[in-house]
Amino acid sequence: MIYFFLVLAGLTVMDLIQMITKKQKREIAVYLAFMLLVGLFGIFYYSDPERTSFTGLLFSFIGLGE
Amino acid sequence: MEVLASTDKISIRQAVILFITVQSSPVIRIIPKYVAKTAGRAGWLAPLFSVLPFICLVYLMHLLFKKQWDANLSDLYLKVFGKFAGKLVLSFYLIWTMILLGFYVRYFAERFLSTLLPNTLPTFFYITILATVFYAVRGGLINIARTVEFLFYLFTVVFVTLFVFSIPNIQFINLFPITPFDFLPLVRTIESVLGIWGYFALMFFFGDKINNKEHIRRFGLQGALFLVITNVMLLIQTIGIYGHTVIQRIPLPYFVSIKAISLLETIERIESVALAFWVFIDFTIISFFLYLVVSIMKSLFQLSDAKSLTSPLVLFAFIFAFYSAGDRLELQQFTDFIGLPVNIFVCFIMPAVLLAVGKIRKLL
Repeated sequence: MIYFFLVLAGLTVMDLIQMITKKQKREIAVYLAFMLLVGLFGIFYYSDPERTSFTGLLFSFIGLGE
Repeated sequence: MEVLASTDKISIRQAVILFITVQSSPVIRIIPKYVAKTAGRAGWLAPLFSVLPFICLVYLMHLLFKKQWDANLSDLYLKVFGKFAGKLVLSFYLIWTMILLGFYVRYFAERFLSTLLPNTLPTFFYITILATVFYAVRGGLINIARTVEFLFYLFTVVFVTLFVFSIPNIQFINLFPITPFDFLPLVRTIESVLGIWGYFALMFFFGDKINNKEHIRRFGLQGALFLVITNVMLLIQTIGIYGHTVIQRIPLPYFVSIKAISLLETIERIESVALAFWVFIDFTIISFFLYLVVSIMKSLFQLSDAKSLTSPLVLFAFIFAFYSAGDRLELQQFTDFIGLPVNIFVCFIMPAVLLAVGKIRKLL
């Protein structure tokens, strides 16, 4: 988990520097929003890697599960 | 190599080659099992049935872009459905392609885990493929298309060679007789083949990066012919060697059929050659989906440059590959019950609705 967030932080800094240099305000907003969502998804997954999978959830949602 | 009308775009010929390579990975994994289960020993004729709807798709794309060769599919959705409904449709495409991206990363790892390297951590495969794809997609579509174009010829040579080597193992009792009763089961196999060949439509989400779209029909139909021939070869090679009852029960039928090859009883275990090319086609499909998601996001959020979005998407794919399914059975079930039907909806039905609404509103 710690490595995932280190990579996430590293990539964010690297990309932000490039986007700030090019003055891409809209791109920065979308980028940060997606990075935040990915970070939250990472926390969600790593907090319990054994939780019901996406397919499992989908199947129980549409009534195909056990 | 073809002379390009615009240097930052790929030609329609390169795009069709990219599509053929993209469809190879899921076709090899899914189709032999599915058609063996649905149509039995007649399954090897399934591509001949699926090619007709595919040709319709080629014509559909031609009609969609007939009056606007420089547009992409996102532009057309926004133009025809209006800003709000168009963005809703694009959001659905975005979510679905992101899901497929994660699943294809997972499939890549599962292939190694179930064949050559069963005791390796999946993390190793995820990081390896995603790091490669990250740099490839950042390099742009032209670099990916040229690499794929070059390797495509090698892949075709290897595929045909392995087929020729397999011929002594093929038993005609596994492929014949075919009776009129096989007609309806063969029609039912269309779902599986089209669920994958439909990726042809997804390619036009970066249609603004494809030159000479006025030749969609010509290259699309040539591609269709190539698909039929190679898919029939694949099915003869799998069903023909082991028979439909065995093929529908084993996880990687093509890999197993390659394993059976023995040249003069001295050269054996050449499945590693096939696996090496499987890595290449997996690299292509994951790059394709990553580039596709970036292109949809670019149109959806009206961005001038979306290259930087590859970073969050690669990280998403990494996590989602773990989260996508608990085991191989769930992966298989996702493909059968959700993946293929939704693919047909997004790749065939939605573009057809787009064309119909566009024609009614006289916008296309």
